[in-house]
Amino acid sequence: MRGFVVDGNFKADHVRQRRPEDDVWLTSGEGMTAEPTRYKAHLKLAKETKEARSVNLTPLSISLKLEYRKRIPATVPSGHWKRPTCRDRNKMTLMGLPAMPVPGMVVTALGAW
Amino acid sequence: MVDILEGEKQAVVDYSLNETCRTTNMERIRKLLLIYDIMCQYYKKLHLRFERNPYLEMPNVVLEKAIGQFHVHGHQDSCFFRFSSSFIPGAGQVDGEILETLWGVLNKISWSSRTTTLAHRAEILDDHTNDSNWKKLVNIGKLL
Repeated sequence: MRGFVVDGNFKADHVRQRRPEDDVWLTSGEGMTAEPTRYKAHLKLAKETKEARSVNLTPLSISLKLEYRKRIPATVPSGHWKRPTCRDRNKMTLMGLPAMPVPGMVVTALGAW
Repeated sequence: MVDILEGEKQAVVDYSLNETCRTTNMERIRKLLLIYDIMCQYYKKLHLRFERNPYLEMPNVVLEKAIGQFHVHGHQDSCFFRFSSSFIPGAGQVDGEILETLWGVLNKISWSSRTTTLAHRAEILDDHTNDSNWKKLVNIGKLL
């Protein structure tokens, strides 16, 4: 799950100027703010790198443990699903979980469904 | 400081990082601790983006990647162990959220800078940021 927090800076829209060419720049890029023309040229050229499909690399035993601690349901990771080890199975039996979780199955501290 | 023209993109932060490195005498610095809210996804292909773009130049430093203490707890559990600044040797006790204290002040003036010209807006932001820095510098004695 991903959350976004929008604070005041994102909503600080600037009103469009009637005659931007009349603007007099006393400091342009010398202070804290970036020099606008070079910055815009950069933005035009820059390419975004796409985020790869997220893969849960946390071992199943650890994610189960974290899930148990938080007392919230967690989905068994489907991206990187591995056959549970003997130790995982022991742990899951102790927690009252079925010994062979299926990818996409929702597990909670109380059991699985 | 850069304007976010079309959403918070990596390019915006890349340029900000580039400007920071360019203007802060990085010649003799070996290691850079970079703390950013979403470092876990930002650092991917960071060097590639800098290499491909002629406007960006990465200084010759070792980059330590971290997430601020406020944001890292809102991330996945794995981010905490990988990016929390409390686990980075040499980082000290740093929360990495120092800019948020600046936004708190700047948000109050953002309404009056809405209708100014862009040049005047840059001057307002410069003045207030300098003032904030000055106050932090003057009051650091109480903290130490």
